[in-house]
Amino acid sequence: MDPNALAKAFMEHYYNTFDTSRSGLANLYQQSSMLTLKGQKIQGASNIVAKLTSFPFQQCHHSISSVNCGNLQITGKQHPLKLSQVLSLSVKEPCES
Amino acid sequence: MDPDALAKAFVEHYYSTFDTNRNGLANLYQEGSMLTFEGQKIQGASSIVAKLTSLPFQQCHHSISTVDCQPSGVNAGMLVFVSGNLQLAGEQHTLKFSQMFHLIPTPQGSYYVLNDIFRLNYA
Repeated sequence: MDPNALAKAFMEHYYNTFDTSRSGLANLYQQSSMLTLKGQKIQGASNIVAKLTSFPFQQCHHSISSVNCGNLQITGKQHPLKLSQVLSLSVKEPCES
Repeated sequence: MDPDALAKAFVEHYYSTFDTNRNGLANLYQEGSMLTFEGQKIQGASSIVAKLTSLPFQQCHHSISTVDCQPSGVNAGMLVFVSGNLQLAGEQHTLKFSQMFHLIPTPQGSYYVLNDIFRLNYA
């Protein structure tokens, strides 16, 4: 797969999962992963997902306009928030057969 | 040096050089480096600097709002993610931008930019 198509497919999967079932993001992170959210550094998949599921909103929708910026619409809020996010993707080792 | 302090020092150096002498950015890139500038991919230090020096403005000023850095997990590199405002000479309003740098250590003990992604943030 072409890297741009792969990045786009990954992003659609990531934000769709974020918007519908944040816990489902757990299998996209590992213990060596780090999330920096508004300056706060969070290490490891379980801590990252705990953070993402602890947000004070239940429903949201991301609309992504380019590879590193987009809008976040929170249910009940009138105006969307602009966001930028960098995701560094590493190859996942294949399962032992 | 603490990684956050190092990232901040790099960012100050990069944008100060960009704003005063874009050619001086050449030694921060190598032939393996890639810049994606507003979706256009540019490979190699000389092509990157040619692009940056061909932008349709002579003078600009970057003011930095946020700098985040993390270890990149490969080759002792560092990911640096910047957001800020870009003021072009003669323009009244600033443009919002975000930029990501993937920095790799050099044998000489400094860092070079392996990956660089720049976007203006509008819409």
